[in-house]
Amino acid sequence: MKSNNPLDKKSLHSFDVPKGYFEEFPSKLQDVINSEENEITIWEKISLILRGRFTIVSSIMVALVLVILQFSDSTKPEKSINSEEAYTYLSNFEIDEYNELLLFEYMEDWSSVTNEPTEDEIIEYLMTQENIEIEI
Amino acid sequence: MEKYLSDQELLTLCQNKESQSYGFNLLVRKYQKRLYFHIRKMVLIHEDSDDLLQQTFIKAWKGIMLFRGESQLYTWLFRIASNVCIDFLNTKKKRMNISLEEVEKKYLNTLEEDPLFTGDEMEKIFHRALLTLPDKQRLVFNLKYFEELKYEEIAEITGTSVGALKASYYYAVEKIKTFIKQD
Repeated sequence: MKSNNPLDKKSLHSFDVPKGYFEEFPSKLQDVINSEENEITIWEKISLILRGRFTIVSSIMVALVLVILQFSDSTKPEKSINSEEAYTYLSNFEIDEYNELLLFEYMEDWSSVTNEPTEDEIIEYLMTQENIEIEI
Repeated sequence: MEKYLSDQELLTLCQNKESQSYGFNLLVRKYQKRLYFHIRKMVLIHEDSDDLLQQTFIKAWKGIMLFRGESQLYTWLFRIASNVCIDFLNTKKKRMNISLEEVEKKYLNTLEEDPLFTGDEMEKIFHRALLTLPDKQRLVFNLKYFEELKYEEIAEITGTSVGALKASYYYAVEKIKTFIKQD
């Protein structure tokens, strides 16, 4: 008796493939593998170059750190200045005549800074193009 | 009919640097059809099957030098192909972000619209019934029913115990019978 149960009728060919698919597949796969192999080779080359450079760069960095550490040791002050020594130095410091003259000139100009500007002076200052640019 | 080398002969060629390409080409020619139809029954669409078949052989190419022959060559190839299929189906489901019922419907539509499906009406019903099974159960069913592999071989491929496989296959057959009766 002929069975109507699909489980009894095993078909391995329910699906079809485009014409020539299995004939072409091995060479298509070979192309894909070759291109993947080339990618790996390029990557390996890059990583080799980078690895070489990394060694050089890291060696330079280590050398630099050593030099800096050496240099920073030699620039350390022999001893720190205490406040007593600083006071003595400032007490003994004498202002000569030329320095005094400069100080007086400076004190004369100082009045323009310490006096409050008038409203007109402020407006004049703000309206000057150069000052506007500076403010911006 | 094409004559193929034995798996041991193929393996010897593939694991020798000088004959590797030639040996692997012969291996592809020997197993491409079996692996293709195994994949095709899982993912249905030809373009996806073609892509997954390539992935399977690329993985095999990369791993063949490390293959120590602890399992049969064809069970190793089927394991790669099966894992590639399950990963693909899981990714597809996640990407589509739809329920299992909707996935099932989409599969059924794919089967209905596939111009490369050449089975008759009975086979269509059978494949529709297969699509109602969860992917891993469908995989076990396909390996047992279509590939006629032993449970021990399927256990090697799926990494599941023989007892669990027997139960899975039994329930798969029952589900298919029920579906066909209802249809």
